[in-house]
Amino acid sequence: MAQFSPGKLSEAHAEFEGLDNCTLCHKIGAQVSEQKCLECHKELQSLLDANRGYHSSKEVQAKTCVNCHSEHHGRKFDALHFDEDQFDHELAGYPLEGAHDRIDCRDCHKPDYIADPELAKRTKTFLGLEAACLSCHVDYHQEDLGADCLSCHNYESFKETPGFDHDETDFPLVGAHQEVQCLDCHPKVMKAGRDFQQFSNLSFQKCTDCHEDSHNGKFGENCTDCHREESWSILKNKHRFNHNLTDYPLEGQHKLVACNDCHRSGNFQASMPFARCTDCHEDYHQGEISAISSGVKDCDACHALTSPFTSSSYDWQDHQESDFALEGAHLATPCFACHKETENSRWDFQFESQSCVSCHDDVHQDFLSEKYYPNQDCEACHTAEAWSDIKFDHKETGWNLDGAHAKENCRACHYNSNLQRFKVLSGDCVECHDNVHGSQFEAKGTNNCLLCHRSALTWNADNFDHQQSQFPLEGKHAIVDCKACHKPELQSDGAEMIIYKIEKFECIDCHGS
Amino acid sequence: MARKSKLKLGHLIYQSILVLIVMIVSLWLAIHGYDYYQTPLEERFYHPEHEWFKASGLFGHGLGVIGTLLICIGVFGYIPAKKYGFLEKYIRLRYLLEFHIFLCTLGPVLILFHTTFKFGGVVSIAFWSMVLVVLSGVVGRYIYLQIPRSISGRELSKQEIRETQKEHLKGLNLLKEQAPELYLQISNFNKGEEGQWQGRSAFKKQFKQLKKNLAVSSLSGKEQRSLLADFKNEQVLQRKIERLEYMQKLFKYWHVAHRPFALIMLIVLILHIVVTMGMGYTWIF
Repeated sequence: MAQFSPGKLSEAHAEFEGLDNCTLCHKIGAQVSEQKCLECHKELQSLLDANRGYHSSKEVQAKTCVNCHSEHHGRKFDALHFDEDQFDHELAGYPLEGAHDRIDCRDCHKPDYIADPELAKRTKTFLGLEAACLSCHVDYHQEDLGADCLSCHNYESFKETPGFDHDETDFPLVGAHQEVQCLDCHPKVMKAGRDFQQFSNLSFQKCTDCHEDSHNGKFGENCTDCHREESWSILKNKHRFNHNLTDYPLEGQHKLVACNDCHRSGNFQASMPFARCTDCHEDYHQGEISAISSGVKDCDACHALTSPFTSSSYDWQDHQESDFALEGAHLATPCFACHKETENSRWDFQFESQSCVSCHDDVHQDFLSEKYYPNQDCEACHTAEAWSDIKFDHKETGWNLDGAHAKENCRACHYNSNLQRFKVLSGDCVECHDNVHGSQFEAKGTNNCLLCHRSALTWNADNFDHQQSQFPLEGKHAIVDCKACHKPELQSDGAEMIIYKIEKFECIDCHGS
Repeated sequence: MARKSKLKLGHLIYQSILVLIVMIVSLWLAIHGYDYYQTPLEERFYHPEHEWFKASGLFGHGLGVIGTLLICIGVFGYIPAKKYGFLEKYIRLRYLLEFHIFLCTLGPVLILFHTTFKFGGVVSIAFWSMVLVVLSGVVGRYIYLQIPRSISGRELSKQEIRETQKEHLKGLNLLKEQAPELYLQISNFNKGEEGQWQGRSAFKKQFKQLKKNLAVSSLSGKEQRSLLADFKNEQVLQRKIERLEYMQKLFKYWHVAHRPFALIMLIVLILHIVVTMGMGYTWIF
């Protein structure tokens, strides 16, 4: 090249064309001066001074500028002659790795990333880039995490952070925190008009710094007293949990049951209805109570937490408020005597009717006349006080009780052995009483004992007037004992019967001859 | 006569060697550097042998230095010798001229490859001056040959020319019998207007006819060749005599052109060398 004006300068140096400018590059007696090159190319001098860049590499250090960059080869001469495909970028002090090795040179080497405004004007330059990631890449973290991107990220993908170990942070990930996506804790927000994830200066001393306190502060700030980091729903120290801090303090029997007996899903966070007992408990009565009592809203109307469910606070006084106020013997009757357990309902509180026979056996069924026992209404005769208290007025039957009858127990007449006799009785004395006279006084097929006997007082035959008989008593006959004349005779059935109708009125008939 | 033939043959070999050297060197340089020289100027720097072939390279620069030396020897060896004749004792001037032509042909060839066919800039003035000098040298050589000269290269006087013609006519005695009309025409060249040289085409026609006539004559082959040679020499001489004044005048003018170009070339060459060395390009030194 050592000719004067040996050829046109390249486009980059075109302004230095002319013999006057030879010594801008050439040094007398020393060919092309590297010093002169660098006097102009200060950007390279500064790189060399800093021992940075390709021109500071061993490959270049031993060379002069003109070994690689010639001149005077015409205006179109490419003084760089840079083979992008073959260039070993490591020589530039910045080996291309990962995605950097796959992209086009100009994706990085472009004015946008060149800080020096003068260098940025050179559209073909490969100078001016800094090794720092942020000299090209936008700081996604907006100075939140410093400038050493590679401490977390690699060259493959920005989304990957193989260098980052959360355990080295002030908040090592434990339990479920290891499973969640980064975004779950470090959500994207807008900052300075760009997406932003905050990774530093986050408050994390308390769980509620990140997590919403679903308890609204009721249980204090230290969630880990109860919850495990493995899972929110897996609780620890359950026994230590102060349930009284909840809207549903545990009382009575509730204190004795296991947590999962109520929180069956295992999710203790899930809100549970608890306004009504049946929100948790099965309605033992299967709706019977609410059906029969509009006033009763919940189980605690009868049952208390202080005692097992089998106990009930419902007493007779409560029962008086019901449609069936207890009276008499009912007051002393155990509940289960009436509210019996059946196949279909455990305790039967709902009755089809409140009639006595809906509970009690109708012992008089078919034995009493509808007239005196209308609609099987026991209370037509009985009271609730006692079954044995009969308020029936026997006069209604037209067969007034008087005399000894008035003193007798009903059963004495209406029960024969266990066989009831009510409507079947016609009023004939011998239906109840033994007919000791046989057919002696029978008239028209019936015996009217009262013709002789005055039952109101005694069975004595006070009504009998011997004087009115076929044999009026006279003389001695009037003072002798009846038995003296009316003596028993052995009947054909073997029994003895006093014969009152002697039919023989001759003296001899009695006195003999 | 035999000595004369021997000298002629030696001269022919000498000339052939010089020509061969120029041709071989030119061919070798062209082949050796073909790939580099045919590479576009903008891309040559990145040619793997650029450092070798480039004008400032060991090879390219060497060509320039050697070519320049050859030219300088050719010029500065010939001009004083011609002017002062101090080498006449050792070498005939025409041989020296031939050697001058050889060196100043080979030198520019080397310079041509030194330039790597890149012709531009101020230094190209030297190159193109050199080209013109070479081309004018070719023209000059032609003019030079059109002027009758002695064996040593000295320009013949008119008397010497006439002596030479006589010699030719002696040799053409045989022509009297074979082609009396032709002999008459030739011999009358110096006697008057009818002896005017007929021109190249007429000469060729006559020569061809003579050759045909001689072939059927009783003359031996040697005699025929000698006759034809003398005829030819005489014809050439007559042609030169015919244009002698014109060529002598042209030769004077030629010097006016040849020398300035050479001078310019030398000045720019010196400038080129000074600048080159001044810039630090000293080849192997």
